[in-house]
Amino acid sequence: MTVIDAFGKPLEIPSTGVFSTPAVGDIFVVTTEGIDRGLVLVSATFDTPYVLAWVTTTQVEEATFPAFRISDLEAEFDLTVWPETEFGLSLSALGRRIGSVFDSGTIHIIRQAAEDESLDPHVDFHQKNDSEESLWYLSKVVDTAWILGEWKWPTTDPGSLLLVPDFQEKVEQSPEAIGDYLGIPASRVVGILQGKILPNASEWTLLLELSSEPGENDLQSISVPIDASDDARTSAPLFAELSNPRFKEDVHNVMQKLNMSENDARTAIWQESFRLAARQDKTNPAARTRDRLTQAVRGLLDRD
Amino acid sequence: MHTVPKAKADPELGDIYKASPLTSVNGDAHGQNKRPIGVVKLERRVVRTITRTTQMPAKTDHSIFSAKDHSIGLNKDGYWAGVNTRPVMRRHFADSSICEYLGRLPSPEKESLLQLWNTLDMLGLQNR
Repeated sequence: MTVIDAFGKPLEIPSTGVFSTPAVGDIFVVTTEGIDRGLVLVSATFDTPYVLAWVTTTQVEEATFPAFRISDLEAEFDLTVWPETEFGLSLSALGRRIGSVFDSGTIHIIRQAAEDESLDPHVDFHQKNDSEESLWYLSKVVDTAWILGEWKWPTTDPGSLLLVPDFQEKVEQSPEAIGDYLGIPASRVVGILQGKILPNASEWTLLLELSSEPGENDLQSISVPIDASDDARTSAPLFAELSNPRFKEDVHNVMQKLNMSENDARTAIWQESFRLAARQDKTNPAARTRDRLTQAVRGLLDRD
Repeated sequence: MHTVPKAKADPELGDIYKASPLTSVNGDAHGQNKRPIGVVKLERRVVRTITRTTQMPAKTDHSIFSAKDHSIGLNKDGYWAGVNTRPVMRRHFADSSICEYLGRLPSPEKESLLQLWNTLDMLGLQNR
């Protein structure tokens, strides 16, 4: 397998790997829409659906401290890792883990070295080099951090937004009246008002018309991203679990079966999981979340 | 009235710029437009920043609210969130077409933003 790195160079990477929860020191392929986009080393993990990551490229001699080299003879890769380019990366953008090169203690040493310019014999740092050429290479890697950091689920597309909870209060209309305006049944309106149904693009247009003062046209004023909702069903474990690389293959299967984008597939699984929320075992929240998502995936894949 | 974008080549903690990322690949609302960034850490070649978004962040994200402030070009309420940590080349701050200086974030939001970064940094060091 080949991935194009920050410098436009083809980088050979193993085609196999493990779809696992990221840990500090892991090297992951960033994979979105079924395409490998780049390589990163995970530099920090939190109890949230994102990590901090260092951009990783082909090994280049123009790199400068605190960038460092890593080599894995078994996997046959020689890489340069760029700690200065640390950036936030959605868990949903992570694909397969192709290696785990350092433990958290060594990552700590590298962070410290970047601060006080100390060297450590266990880390193969590049030489200090402030040439123009070196800065050009670094700037390309910085660009890559921005590019990879853009990938995120949920997106801010209308298809991944819920209606604000106080919408009905704001427009002072019944579900029936809203339904008449939108040309949809009142039962669907109730689902939208309760945050159980994501409005489609044409519904958003009409909801916006209904709520706006003349001249106003701001979708953000009547919407909330699904992961920012107060609804208990959109709880942190659900988003963390569905964003976790462990679910990547399931998301890809749904994506292919329903012929949709990866983000839409993930949102479809999230929405399908609503249907299952009411009849889950309440004694083990973590297992409940996993079961719910697994059943949601199965439900979507079994659909004719 | 058209005003010439200002440059400030030596960023300080809590400074706000509008930065111009080169590429957008995911239909992000900002697209090719410049987006506000807050300076949270200074290094020799790279400046650590957090980008500001008007979209409400995930409940689970490390984030703080940022009220609109027309005096520094923040015309809508927004948020600073850890997932939006981004590096910027220090040399770019001298070029107002890449990094347009907006001003200093007022207190106490400035301190809150720096505290947000310190929390991320601390959690990162702990490698939780």
